[in-house]
Amino acid sequence: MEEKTARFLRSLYARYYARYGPGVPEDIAHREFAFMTFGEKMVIRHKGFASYDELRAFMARLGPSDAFYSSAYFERPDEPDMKAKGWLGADLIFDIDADHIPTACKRDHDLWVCKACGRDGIGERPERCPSCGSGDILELKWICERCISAARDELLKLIEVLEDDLGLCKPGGWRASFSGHRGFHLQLYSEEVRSLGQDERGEIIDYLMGVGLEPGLLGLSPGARMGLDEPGWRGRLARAFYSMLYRADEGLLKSLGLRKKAIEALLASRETILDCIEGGKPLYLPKGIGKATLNKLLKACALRAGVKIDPVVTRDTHRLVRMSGSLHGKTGLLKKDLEPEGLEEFNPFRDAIAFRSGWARVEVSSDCPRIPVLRLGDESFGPFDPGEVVELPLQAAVFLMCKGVAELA
Amino acid sequence: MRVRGEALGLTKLDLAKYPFLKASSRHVSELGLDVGDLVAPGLSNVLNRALGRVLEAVRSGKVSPDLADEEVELLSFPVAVLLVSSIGNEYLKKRYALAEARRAEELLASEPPDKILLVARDLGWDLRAVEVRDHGILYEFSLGLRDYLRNASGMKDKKWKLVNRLVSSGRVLATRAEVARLLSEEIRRKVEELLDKASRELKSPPEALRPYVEEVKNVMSELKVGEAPRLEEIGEVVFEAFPPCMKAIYNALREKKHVPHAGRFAFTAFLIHIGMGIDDIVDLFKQVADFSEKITRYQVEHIAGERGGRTKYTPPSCNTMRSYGLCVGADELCEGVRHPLTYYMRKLRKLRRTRKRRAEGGENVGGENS
Repeated sequence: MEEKTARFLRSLYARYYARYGPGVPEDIAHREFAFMTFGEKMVIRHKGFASYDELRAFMARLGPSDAFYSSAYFERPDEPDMKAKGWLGADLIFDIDADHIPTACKRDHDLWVCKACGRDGIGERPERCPSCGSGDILELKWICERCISAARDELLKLIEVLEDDLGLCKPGGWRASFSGHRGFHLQLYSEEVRSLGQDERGEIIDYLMGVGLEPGLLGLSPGARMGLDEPGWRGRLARAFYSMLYRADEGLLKSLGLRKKAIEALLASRETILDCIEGGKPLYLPKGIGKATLNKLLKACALRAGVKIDPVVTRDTHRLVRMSGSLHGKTGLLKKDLEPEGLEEFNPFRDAIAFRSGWARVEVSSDCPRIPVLRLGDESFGPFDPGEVVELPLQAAVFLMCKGVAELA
Repeated sequence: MRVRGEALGLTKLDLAKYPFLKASSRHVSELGLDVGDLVAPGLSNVLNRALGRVLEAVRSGKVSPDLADEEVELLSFPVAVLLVSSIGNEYLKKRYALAEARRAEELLASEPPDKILLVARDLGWDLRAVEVRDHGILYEFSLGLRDYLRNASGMKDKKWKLVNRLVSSGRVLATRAEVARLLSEEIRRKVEELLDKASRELKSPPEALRPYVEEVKNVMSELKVGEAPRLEEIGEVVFEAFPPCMKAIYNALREKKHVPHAGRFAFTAFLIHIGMGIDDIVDLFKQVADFSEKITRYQVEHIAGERGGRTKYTPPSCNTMRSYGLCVGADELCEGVRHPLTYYMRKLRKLRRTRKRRAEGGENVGGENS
């Protein structure tokens, strides 16, 4: 990013915070704050603020590209030595990132370019350039309604499991937000979750993701009754098994490690098995499908039916979390809290926009072979050609500059 | 004598069985005893039983209940706590707490449900009686998620994993034996807390306890208890003793395959903890992958606690490794451990024993000098 662009964004963000401020974090005095800046990418950590006004004034002066606070509560949040901070507890954080959910649209809008030889490709970047072997690769991750919608489905599933199974999403104790980039955050801040240790958080993670699940221990073995409407993992597994079997073909079952004979037997008695599950009758399995095969199938179902959260984030009791109501440094969009009833209608390209008026002239970078279409509000921008100079509504211009594919012209 | 606990349904026998309860210590303090009284001839039984509790913990890792005299059984517990904290050995504290927890588990497992509820309530649990029969198993209790996780998250058997439990609206079903086991975990921590509290409040061991302190110390040194080697003192790094997960990360690095950040972190923290120097680790990374030396050194120093937050990071436990998808499947030795470092220590000791045997047997052990 050129200094001119960085200066422009810094002052734009600063003015935004002077006018609107970030969201109000619970228990400001016990949180550590951290910021990053545009341009030289400074990281400012171990900041503490006694009040919201102090925090807001600081952000209005700095114009940080990204603003975070600690999920943890500390006695002395501004102490640089982690041990001396005095950990008091931490919110339980969940991160759902479209990156971790396979969606077809990534092939349409994600691309990479090798900075050494100029080779480019679509989808996820390779570790090294297949042409020249360089590891210096520019990666462009775009967002669209489809990946946001896939992530939102996971968020809804997450809230449902936390509420129905674990009793953890109690009114007034949680907050869901759009992350400002490619996903959603769920933050549980009630007293009862704050003292959970890492291993306890780990058990919650494994529960949500279906890791370590043993069907036999849940009473799911040949001859058992599987109820589609049973609570918890039993019902979830029954539903996942039902829908997998309903759709299964040879290729799918083979990919799960089943042998040819077993696949034939299973597909031949598919209807009978589906009837058993639907009617809550003891599970019939044909010859050749024993406990081991059933286990294999159910474990595969568990991993599919699990919620796709980032386990590293949730386990960490010293995590920095992006602040609600702050601007994202890679998009210029807001991290936006969502009303529980408004989750399904939320559209970040309409609802997380910070800059609704003004224009800016930008020059599209010539490193990138093409810039995908960007949809904001009801309008589409692009695709853009390398080197093109365009005048765009402020939000779209900020998006391109934040993504590092355009400079202020 | 009136027992205040009785109002809550706990009899004097119960207090003797579970002397770590709040109701039990209330009862003891109402008797108005202090340590000076313990040398009085009438109370020598209490002192002897206290010594018996501690010595049995040292020798066999479990205290057997002795309910012949309820008063002695109850009073000897706080005395034993005083005795253990006077010795001031961390290993003994842990061993004693575990031995008392095992004693309690045995007693709890044969109690009727309402008695278990009383004990659990005294310990601050949210436990309820239910009656659910499922696949031939009778679940007599449901417990709150937090109480379940606090006590089950450290257990190794897969049946304790939350994902393998029947759970609904934050309540986890459990059988009577399971609740006894989970309570014993709570009790272990509770006894450890009592020991820590006693250590903090204790200035010097009471005169009357001196001979008993000496006796426990003698038995401990006879049995070589509490002298486990520390990892830092182990010496050179033996790749052969690495757990499968760390070997896998090392191999992936060597083959220049992608290793996620969590994996590189775990591996680095592991190397630091088994005593490898920062320079050696940076060299190793340089050999196996073409990382920038500057960045690698910065990160390794950070993990070693020489930069940034000054925290020396511990490598993740087996549970965490599993959650992150870094566990590559257990070998036999993995079955008994919860942490990659424990695996390394055990394997190292095993390798050394084999080598020593071989050396003693006069076989040629080649260029090995460990």
